[in-house]
Amino acid sequence: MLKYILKRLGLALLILLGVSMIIYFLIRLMPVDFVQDKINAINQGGATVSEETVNALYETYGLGDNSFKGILSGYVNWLGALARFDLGTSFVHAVPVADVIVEHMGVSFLIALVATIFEFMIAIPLGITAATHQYKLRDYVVTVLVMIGISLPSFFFGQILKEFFALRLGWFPASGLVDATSDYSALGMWGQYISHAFIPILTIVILSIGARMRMTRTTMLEVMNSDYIRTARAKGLKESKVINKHAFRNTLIPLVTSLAGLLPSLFSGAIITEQVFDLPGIGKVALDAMNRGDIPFIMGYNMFLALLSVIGVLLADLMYAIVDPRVKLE
Amino acid sequence: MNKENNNTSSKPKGYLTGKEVRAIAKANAKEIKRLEKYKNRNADEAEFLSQLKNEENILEIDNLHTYFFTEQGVVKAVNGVSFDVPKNATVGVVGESGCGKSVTSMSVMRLIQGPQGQIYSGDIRFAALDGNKKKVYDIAKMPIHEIHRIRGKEIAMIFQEPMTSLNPVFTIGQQLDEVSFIHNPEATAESAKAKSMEMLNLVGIAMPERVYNAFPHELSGGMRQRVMIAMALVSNPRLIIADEPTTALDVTIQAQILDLLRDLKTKIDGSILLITHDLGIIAEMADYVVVMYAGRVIEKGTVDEIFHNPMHPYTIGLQKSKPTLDSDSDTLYNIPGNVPNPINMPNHCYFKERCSRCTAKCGGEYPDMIQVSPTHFVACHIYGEEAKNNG
Repeated sequence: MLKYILKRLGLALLILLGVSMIIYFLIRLMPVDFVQDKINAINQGGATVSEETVNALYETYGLGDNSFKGILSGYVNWLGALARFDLGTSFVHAVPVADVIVEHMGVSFLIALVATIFEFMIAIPLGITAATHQYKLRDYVVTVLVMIGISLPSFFFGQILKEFFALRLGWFPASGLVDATSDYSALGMWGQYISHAFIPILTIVILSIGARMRMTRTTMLEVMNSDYIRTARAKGLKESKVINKHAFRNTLIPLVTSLAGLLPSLFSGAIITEQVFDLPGIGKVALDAMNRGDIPFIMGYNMFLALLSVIGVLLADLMYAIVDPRVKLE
Repeated sequence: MNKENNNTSSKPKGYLTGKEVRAIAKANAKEIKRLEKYKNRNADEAEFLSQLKNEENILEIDNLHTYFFTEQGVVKAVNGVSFDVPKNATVGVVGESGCGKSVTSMSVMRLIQGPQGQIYSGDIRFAALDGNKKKVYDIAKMPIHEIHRIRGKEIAMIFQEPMTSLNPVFTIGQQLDEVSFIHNPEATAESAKAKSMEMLNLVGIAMPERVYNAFPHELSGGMRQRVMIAMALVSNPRLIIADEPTTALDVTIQAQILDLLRDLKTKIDGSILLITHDLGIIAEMADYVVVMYAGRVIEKGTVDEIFHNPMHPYTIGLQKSKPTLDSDSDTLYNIPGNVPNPINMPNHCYFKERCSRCTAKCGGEYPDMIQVSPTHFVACHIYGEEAKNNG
């Protein structure tokens, strides 16, 4: 087992190297230019920037040479810094990339974690009832409702929830994470977070239940038609026991595995939802960095997600071995 | 049938118009709703208590109809099946694939996959022991939530697919012990394990302790079928239904499993209902034989009568299609044609199109069961004439 994990981690390093190379080259080829934008801003302020200053700026940010060789040396520099555990300094924020990620990740992570917990807690029982009442009213009602959920775009549905809960009813604040007029005790701050995060979490949960519920339903139906369920019934087990013990335990296998695969999405932030509700999460920051060509941040953020993806896949495989006795990791 | 032909003459066989499909769906939905309601109703015990016709029987199946309501129409998988299982006897049900033998056994266990599959009518009378008191239940009329009185406790079943019939995520021990916990309220972890180990020993598993802790995928097919048999025996059932128990196994293992079943019958003091399409197994194992064709019993009798004096042309054909060592022929005899489509069965003998001894009368009503000896019955027009002439 340990040998298997070490082998997989070694492989992960190779994968990450490839990923970083592709991302770096892609970013350098992107039609955004942080330095040019900066100069434009200065020009708009009325000042003129001399040719030398422009060149000096390009050199400072390491964007002077856009030939293949130049990009390659830029990549090697980035990699060298990474080897010393230095992700570089964000162009936009002018602080180390790692600090920016740590600062904004907490909000996104907590929202995603709570949303994922609710998603599983609601979607799994729904999927099971839909499967055990296949082609009956309950199945149709659940299926139609979650299909509506899948079909709604988050920027639209988020706005509707905001309009309804925040503006009409006034139960929850419409955007941001803290109000200006609030008490700053620890308890008060958490109260603020919860009331502000409520609508975004509700949006994410409603939109994501559908896929998970469909997956549970399909797996459950497949399991319910298998021979060992017939055996369980033939033993004289009550139907509730057949479903909750024999069938559910097998339905769990793909669900638990998919849970491990969710690891990167817990940290990546919900770009659109954060935009709609003006939350200072990492998704919003990343989108901003993309638009402004903040190369060190984009690299750091994407590599962080790539690392989580690789770990997530490894975790999924390990989970498989735990929940399914037929799987042996060699 | 004639009307059927007129309707379908202008379109390919089996093609249904949208109107017909909707009519079928509507009729199905109505019937399924009625039968599901009946299946899930609350009923007094008196409603499903019954009387055996013959006290020597343990199971009497009487005019059983099990239908599947499909999108193409109603499939009458079991269409008026009647036979008895006497105490301490082995009854073999034989027939080709799709003749309804498995559906019959599933009906007895009430394991027909709803809502499409439903017991439509008929009686399944079973002499159960409730404590020490004998009670005859009509299984077909039992509400589904009462079935635990019988299922797994009085009647146990062995399935034809040992490779997939055990739950892959639980150990053999967990699955065996579970049976004790369901049917014996006083069972403790120790007593359940002791019982499971005893049964594993009984079915001839060499290292019961190792198998007890193993997962199903760690065992071979033959071992798994032994485990399935052990599982059926844990609750001391009085009737074991073996649904093609050896079909998925290779020949040497088949022989071992059959030996085991034969041994067990003497040990457990119960009856076996053996479903198979292998005449060799029937000859070796059964006391009585029921021959099924297209959802109906066409001939039944003792094993002697069926093998030495087969009367129905289909049974005769089956006997002829057995491979024998002393035959010079290079080819094996086969009955021409195929089993008819089970939807919209004609109201004449279903074997008519394939029968070599067909008479004018065969176009008429489906033949009744004719008694040719105290134990031998056959449904064929040829003997109907003789019977009338004789008496």
